[in-house]
Formats: sequence, structure tokens, C-alpha cells
Amino acid sequence: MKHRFHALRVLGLRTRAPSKVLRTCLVLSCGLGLSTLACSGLGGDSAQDAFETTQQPLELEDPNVELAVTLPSAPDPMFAGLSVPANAPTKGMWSAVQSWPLNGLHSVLLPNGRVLTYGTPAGNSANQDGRTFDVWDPIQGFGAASHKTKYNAQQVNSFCSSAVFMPSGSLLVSGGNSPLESSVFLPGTGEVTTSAFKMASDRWYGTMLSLPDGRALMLGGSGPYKGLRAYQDPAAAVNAGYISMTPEIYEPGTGFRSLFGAYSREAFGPDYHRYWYPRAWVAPNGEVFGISSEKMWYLNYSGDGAVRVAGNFKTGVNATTKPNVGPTSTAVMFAPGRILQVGGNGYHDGHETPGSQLATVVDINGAAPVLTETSPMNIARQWASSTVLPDGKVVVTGGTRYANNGGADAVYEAELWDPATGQWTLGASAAVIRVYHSAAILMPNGTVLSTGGGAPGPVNNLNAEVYYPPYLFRAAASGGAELRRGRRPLPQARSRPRTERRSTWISLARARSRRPS
Amino acid sequence: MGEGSLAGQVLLLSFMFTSCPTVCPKLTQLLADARADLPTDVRGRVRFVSVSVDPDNDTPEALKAFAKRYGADVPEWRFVRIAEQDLQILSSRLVVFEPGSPRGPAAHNLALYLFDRRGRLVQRYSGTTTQPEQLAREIVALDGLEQPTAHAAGEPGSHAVLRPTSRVSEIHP
Repeated sequence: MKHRFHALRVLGLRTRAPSKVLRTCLVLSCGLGLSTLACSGLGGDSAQDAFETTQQPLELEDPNVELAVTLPSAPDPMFAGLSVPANAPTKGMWSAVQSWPLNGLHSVLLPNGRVLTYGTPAGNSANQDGRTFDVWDPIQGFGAASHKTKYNAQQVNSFCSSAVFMPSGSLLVSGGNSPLESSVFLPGTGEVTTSAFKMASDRWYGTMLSLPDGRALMLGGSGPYKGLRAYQDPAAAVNAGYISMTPEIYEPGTGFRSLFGAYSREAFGPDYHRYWYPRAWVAPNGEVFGISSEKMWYLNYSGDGAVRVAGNFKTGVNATTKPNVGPTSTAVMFAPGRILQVGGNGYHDGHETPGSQLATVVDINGAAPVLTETSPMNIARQWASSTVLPDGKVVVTGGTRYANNGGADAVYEAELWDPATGQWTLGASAAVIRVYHSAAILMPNGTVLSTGGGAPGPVNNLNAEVYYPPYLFRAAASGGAELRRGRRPLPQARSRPRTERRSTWISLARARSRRPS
Repeated sequence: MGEGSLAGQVLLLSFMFTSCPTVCPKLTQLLADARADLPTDVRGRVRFVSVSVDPDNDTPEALKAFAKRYGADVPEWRFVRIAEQDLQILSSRLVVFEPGSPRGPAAHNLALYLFDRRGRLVQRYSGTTTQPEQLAREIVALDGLEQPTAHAAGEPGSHAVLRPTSRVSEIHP
């Protein structure tokens, strides 16, 4: 119960005193980390009006939950003026390409529904300087007034950093081109300060995740640009201490400390570029589970920490078998304890290898991870983004068929994976190449915001696109398709252990920063 | 300094030279402050080693005087001058000089290399941002870890980075 209030607070929704009111106008973000909200009368005929309407109440598994929220009734400009194609109910559709102030290679959905992006200076999509933060307010549409962009020369350079929400509601952005430092971003005010606490080890390409007890865990990373080819001579990288193989834990008010017991070359070493943004989640057993390139592991973060290797996920990169491994793959926890890892087969942006079509479900609900190959994607991809949708499916956007190429190798089509069938469905095509340094996040209204790409190339994007998944549409009685009215897909509440639910939400909230940059 | 003298010890390794005007004194003071923050028993177990990057000029007497200036003339903190050949091997291995940067004592980095009892480099600190209290906490935590298990000792990456430097010319104090 308390936890659910926490989830609402994080989402920035106003709560009122608990009562037996539930089942009206309530959508709870928990199991899948998405809050869709709308609470007003039935709309008119326009597409935009269709999304001002009341949605169906959420059927909570726990009938004793007492929550209520006041939902905004303002029109949603993200649905304004859409020209819905006839195949939208099966393929979804993309928005027009929208201008973006900077190259949004990092993006974070804030509790107030706005989106923080950073990675390059404003108007300079190729400069690897993350001292500019942009906050986009989707309620104001896509015009220039919808963005508030701030540059601070004294700010931590958060290019290739990692970020998590802290229990206070602030966003801790750590590492990157300022490899030992952290920014603290306050979503309510937009204020950015530099944390007084320094990390012990360089965390460029590190992965940070929230722990159930409110602390944060930093994994992997290296000195900026120090380990770009570390997999080619891992021994030298180890000897130099360039690769951060000892995790650090952050305690609010105390700062970072090393978990020396969790030192592990097998989990965070230079071999196979395991240290590049290790994929990690809080597991149902309370430990942290991770996939670092070809290796799987569990990390017990109590005390001084400990890592136990859980075997190989796949082989290393291979031009013939094209396994879905390496930093160029993408992975999400699509259901509690169930992870989908797809694409990849590369170690870095200059790695001239073919992309992978393969997709694997990793189930960590048992004593050991269970790997199940699901259907391969229709198109091989490296540097794609995967996003969990509120209907339980996963959408993969962007990527390239080969290395970090654009041109004919770029993949524009979205693909949707259904966990119920294990099958992929090709979705609508985007207009912009989004490969290395791109991101995608789920928005509270059920759309997917796709940003960034480049720095360096093959294109440097100062734009964003929105993918509207098929569930937002239906066949129109008069032929063609139209936006659904009066009802939108709802996140499925699940009765799960409290800690797991929380960690799932947080990990989704920061999913965009888990991708290698 | 033979391998045996450091075997099984938590070790903090750094680089310096006695005629360094600014950064080396600061770095050495940082180390002295961190060491002072250690509990007595930990201070007795952990080894600090400061390697001169200017062996031609850092005489034993100069090293001894430098150590004394920071209260570092204790058995648990060694200021060492090693053969030029060994210094090259060690500095190359730890990348003490940035590749492409002009060589010379003043170009050395300020990193602090922390090794565990297995000889593994487990953390590489920035000597410019690390605070003495933080460094002391880290050393205490590493010292408090249990002795290595047979399984863990065989993990890839175990190495004894100081092995090539076993031919030490002088150790001070």
C-alpha cells in the first residue's frame, strides 16, 4: 500500500486521502511502469478529443488498495492533427519529425510527465558535451515554447552517463565525460546542482540502478575513451586500471563506496566489452541480475557485495552465428523476472560486424536463469532501442543492419514482440536514422518518444519522433482507421513483491539510459 | 622490495618525485591524511608504496627526507627508487604517463592504485578528487574482506602487477 503511494508520488500525480474510491479514473503505474491517465467526459469527433475521454477503470488484483488521483483533462497535443493511415491498427504510426533542441541521446521521463534529455549542446548535435539539460513539456506540443533548455559551463558533463531517481524524487546523474561526478536534477524546479560526493572509479558507460532499499548501485564503466578497444587487449586494460570492475553503492547523505567483494572481471571486465553499460535489474530473489555481453551474473549488494557468475548468455560476437550479445544489443524486463534481449553482435560503434536478429527470453524467477530462444526479429539490428508497452508487448525501434551504418543499412521499421506468442510483427517506419546514441521511452499517454542518434554519426539528430503503437487505433466504421475513443490500454496491475514492483518501475523509468551511448 | 614483502597485503600504490613543486606534495599529504584516518590495526597491515618517477635524482637521502616531511617514515609506507628499466615496465603497465604526452617526471599521473590481497588492482582513484576520509573508508573496507577463496583466486584477471618491479634499488625508510 505504502509502496503504491510512492509510485504515484514518483509519477507526480496528486493523491487524495485514501478512501474506497478506487475504480474510478485511476490508472496505476506498477507492474509495467506506465501511467496512462485521462479523466473527463466523452470527447467529440476529432482525433484529439478522443483522448480527453474517460478510460476504463483499472481492475486491481488487490481489492483493498485505496488510492485516487486527480487526473488532468487538458487535450493532449501529441495526438493533435494526426493523419491516421489505414494500417495503423496493426502497424501503428509515426509522428512527423519534430525539431529537438539538442541530440537527446539520454532521455528520462520525469514524475511530472515532462521529459529530460541531454547529451550535446543546444543546436550542436555532434559535440559530446552533456552540460546542457532540456526539459520538454508534452502538454505544450512540439513548438519551441515546449522546451526549456539550460546550459551551465560549471555543470557535470553527463555525456555517456547513467541516471536513477532517488527516494527524494531527485534524479542522480552520474559519470560520463565527468567520470567521477554526479549531477542532481530536481524535476519540480529544473534546478541542477553538482553532488558533493565523488565516485571512486571512472564511470563512463556505467550502469546505475535503483535498489529496493533506496540506494543506488553503479556498475561497470571506464575512464572516458580509455577502454574504447579494451576487448582487443583486455589484459592491458586490466593492468592499467582503466576498467571499473568494482561496483560502487550510493547512499543518500553519505555518498559512494566501493563494493570490493563484488569485484569481478567476469561481470565488468574489458573482455567482450562487458563493462559497457552492463544490463542489470533487481531480480525476484532480491539480488541484482545482469547480462554483460556474453556473460550472466548475480550481484548480492549487501555488505561488501559479492558476484557469482551464472554462466554464459551466448558466445562472443561472431560474424557467422550473429548472437544477440554485446553493447549493441538491447534488453528490457518485460514482465517481473522476465527479460527480452534482442539484436546486437557488436562491441562498439566502430565494430564492423553484422547485426543480430536473435531474441532471447531470460527468466530469472527461478534459482538460475533459464534461456529460451524466441522468434528472431524480422530485421537484424544493432543499436536499436526496446521499450515495454502497457499491453505487455515490446516494441523495438531504430538500429542498423551492420555496424553503426546509416544509408541502406539503417532500419526504420518498428517491430512488436508479443510475449504470448513469441512472434514479431513489423510496425510502421520512422523517417530518421537512429542508431548509436539514440533512445526511446514510453510516455504516460502510451506513445513512445524516440530521440537522439549520432555524435558521432552516421547522422547527428536534432529531432525526435513519436511512435503510436497499434493499440491506440481501431478500424473506422467508414473505412480506414481512427484513434480509439474513450478507452486506452491500461497497465496490468500485478500482485508482486513490493520491492520487485518498485524496482521494475524505476528500471523502466531509466530504461533509455541503459543503452550504450 | 621483494614480492614476498607485499604478498597478501592490501597495497596502495602511487607515483611521485621529490622535487615536484606542487602536486606531489599535495598527493602525499592526501595519503598521509588518509593513513592517519585508518584504525591502528589497519594502518599496521596496509602497505603504502610511493614510487619515484625520477630515479636519477631521487637519492635515498632525498626520499628519506621527503618521507619524513609527511610523517611517512614508517615501515608500512615505502618510498622506492627502482631501476629505470623496471620503472618503464611498471609505468607502462599502469599507464602512469599518458600515451603521447611528453615523458618526464612532471608528466606522471596522480592516480592511486589500490590492490587487494590477491594482487588484483581493484580500484584506481583520482588523486585530484579523492578525499582522505573517502580513501580511508575504502582501505578499511578492502582490508576487512575475507581472505581469498580458492575459486576466486583463480578468476581471470588475478595478477601481481608488481612482479616486474621486484628489482628495487632502494627502499626508504
